[in-house]
Amino acid sequence: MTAAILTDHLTKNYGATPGIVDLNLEVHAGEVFGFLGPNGAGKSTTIRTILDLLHPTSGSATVLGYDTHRESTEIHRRIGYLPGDLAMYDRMTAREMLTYFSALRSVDTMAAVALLAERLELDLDRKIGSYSSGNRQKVGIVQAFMHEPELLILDEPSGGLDPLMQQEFYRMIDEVHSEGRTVFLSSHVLPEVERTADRVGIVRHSRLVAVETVEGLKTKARRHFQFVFADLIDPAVFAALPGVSSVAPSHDGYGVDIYVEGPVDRVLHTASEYRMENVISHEGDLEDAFLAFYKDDDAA
Amino acid sequence: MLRSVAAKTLWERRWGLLGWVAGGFVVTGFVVAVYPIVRDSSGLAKLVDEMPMELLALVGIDPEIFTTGFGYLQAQMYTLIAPLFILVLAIGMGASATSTEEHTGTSDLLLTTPVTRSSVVLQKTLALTVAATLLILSFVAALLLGQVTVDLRLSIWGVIGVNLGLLLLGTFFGSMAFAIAAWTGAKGLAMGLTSGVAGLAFFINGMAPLVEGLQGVQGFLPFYWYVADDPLMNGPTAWHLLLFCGTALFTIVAVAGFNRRDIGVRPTFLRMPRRPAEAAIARSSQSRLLRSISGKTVWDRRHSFWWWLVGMCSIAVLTAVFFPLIEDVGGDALVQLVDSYPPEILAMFGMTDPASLFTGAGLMSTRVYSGIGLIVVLAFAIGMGKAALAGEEHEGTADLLLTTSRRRDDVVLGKSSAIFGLLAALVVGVGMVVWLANLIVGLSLTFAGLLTATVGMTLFGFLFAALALAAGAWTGSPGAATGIAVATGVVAFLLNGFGTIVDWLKPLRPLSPFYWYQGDANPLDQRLGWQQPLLLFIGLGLIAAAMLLFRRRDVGA
Repeated sequence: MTAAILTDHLTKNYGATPGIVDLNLEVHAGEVFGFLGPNGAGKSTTIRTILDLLHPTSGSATVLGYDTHRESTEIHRRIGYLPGDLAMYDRMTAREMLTYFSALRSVDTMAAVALLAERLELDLDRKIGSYSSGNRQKVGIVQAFMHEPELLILDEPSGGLDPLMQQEFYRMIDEVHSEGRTVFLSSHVLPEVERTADRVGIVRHSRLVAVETVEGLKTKARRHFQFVFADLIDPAVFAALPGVSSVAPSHDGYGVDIYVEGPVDRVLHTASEYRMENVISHEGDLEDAFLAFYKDDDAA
Repeated sequence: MLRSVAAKTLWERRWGLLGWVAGGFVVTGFVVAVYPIVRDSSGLAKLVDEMPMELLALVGIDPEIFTTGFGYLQAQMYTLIAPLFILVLAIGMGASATSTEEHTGTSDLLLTTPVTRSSVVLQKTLALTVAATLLILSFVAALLLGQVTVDLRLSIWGVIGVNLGLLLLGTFFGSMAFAIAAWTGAKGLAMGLTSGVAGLAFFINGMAPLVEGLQGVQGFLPFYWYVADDPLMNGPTAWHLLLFCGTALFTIVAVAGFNRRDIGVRPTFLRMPRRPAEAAIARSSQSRLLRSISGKTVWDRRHSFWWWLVGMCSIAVLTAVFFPLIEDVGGDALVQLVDSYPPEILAMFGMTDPASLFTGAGLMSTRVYSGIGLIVVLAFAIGMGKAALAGEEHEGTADLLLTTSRRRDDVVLGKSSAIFGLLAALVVGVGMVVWLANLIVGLSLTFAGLLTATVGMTLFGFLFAALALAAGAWTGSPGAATGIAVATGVVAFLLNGFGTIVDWLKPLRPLSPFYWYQGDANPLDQRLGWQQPLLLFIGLGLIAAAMLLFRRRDVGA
């Protein structure tokens, strides 16, 4: 099966400033792929390059099997794109602009537009310039979804949406997913990626530093245990164990808080040698994993 | 109307285009309505008949047609007014066709639809051509009306010829601006460079009949291609093919350039090289300017200002360079000839004092202080005026500015004072160049005259800047602010020009700011008097009005 997005040593520099360096990324057809990274890491540069808005300095990429430069029109026909820095024609109404883009795509989307607008509670007959930022974002979302594209490329999609609308938006992504279409979701909102994505790629300083399943990433994340014992305990017995990154006493000396990276068996084994009254295990979350990739950022 | 990029481009500009078409019709109608006065001036035809042919040729007068509809319209409409209309529209549309979408960011959505970049360029060029055609049709409509009412006796073939030439002149410079913008994404650069080239071509073409050495150059000038061989009389000419080929060439260049561009990214060759020492200097100068609203207004123009100054100084230097040549050709004979014209005819050509036409002061006045130079200063002034309040409101930055501790009045005052300073700097800069030219070439200008013209042009520019600023404070729309200021300028210009020859306009002429500025002679022959304080007073009055209007304004509504 053709990869939805495949980049080969893709590099884009702005003069001397690197935008994205040596990116090798494969997004499978039918998956929801989260593209994570802090501001300025190169997420939008990657997206704008594979959409042929920018021309690569070196390397190449295909989207849905088409070369991003030579066959960009074929790609554009098949994708829906929500820019991170969403700019629209402020003096048109939403309906006018959506009519225009439907015409440029040569598809009749008016029925789909009406349904999407209803779902997102969006009034289509106001000037785009007069919308609040949340409503602008909804117009952008309708614009990206209306022609039911094979691949959705969404750059920071949920900004400005209220929590109810965010939930509705996640359901829309789930539906696209269940229909076997692909979603490439760039974000720095971790719960959003965790909620929707199968796999994630993490960029940092213009480079792709990891590609993992969400589950895999969570497994690699630091885990947090809170033990409470029947007797006073010396936290030092845990400190020397492999993988333990921090230990702190709690419950007036009867408990310990432990953070562990990697396998947890040695910690549990050691704890079981004491009379244990309670244990709380926190699931490793994406935020911890994510921060782990960036924890030496200050030094960088 | 929203089925294609071309249609949408026109649809988006529908109100602006309506304004252009209405303006084109009114101005052409005005020119046409005055025609009977020229035709029925019986002395004129006789006078022209008695002139030696060589002299007439020198000032571009064809005795056969001078008082006919052809000659009149050629001189009054198709030499300056019509090309100016078309060029402002076409260069504006060409320069902003893709660069505005890039600047605002809508190109990201547009160019990720299945429409190719080549198609976008071609469709926007088509839209430009259609818009120019609509404007030209408004001229034609007024001419046809004149054909019936004042008996212009034009040939249809001639009307087609001159207007086809005009359309191609528009697409030539429009596509030139488009090509520059497509390669660079820089609208200002495209507009400035193209206007500069067009202005220079117009200037040299106008000088060519007066200066012997220039005749050979004419064949290379787009303006010559447009008027050569009298298309208004003879229909489309072979020269028009050159304009067409140029349009095609620039369009190909635009397609190639736009296909290569990184959208929304300034090309590396346009970025300022910045060495560390310079960067430090730039930082310190920025920090000083960025401490006040007026300083920031200047800072915004720290690059473009120099281009305006270079443009103005080029006009002054070119004029000075040509002056000795004109004098050599036979200044006395020319003065004699011009003296024998009925003054009202000369007034319509913008020559209110015929005797001074070929003096240094006269030439410098008609080029720098009342001709193309004045148009440049007004464009600079109105541009700053509309950007001041309406521009910030439109961009949305007004929200940040007006929620600082500065009062709205301070914003208006700060911006106005900066605009005044920038205008004064521009006009004084040109004045210094003119004075230098006077010392080198010997234009026999007086210091008092130059001082008066400098003060006058600064105040005159400020009045229109203040008008645009007040209109912006009132409407919040940069387009409306520009429109109101430009329309007022056109009306005032026509009132002053035609006020000398049309009886019922005569009492109204003293109401025109152009009259306060220019008087009956050239700006360089004026003396300080009641006019300058009046210009200043009205300018300040408009600023006061702007303050009142801006206090009450719902920002962003």
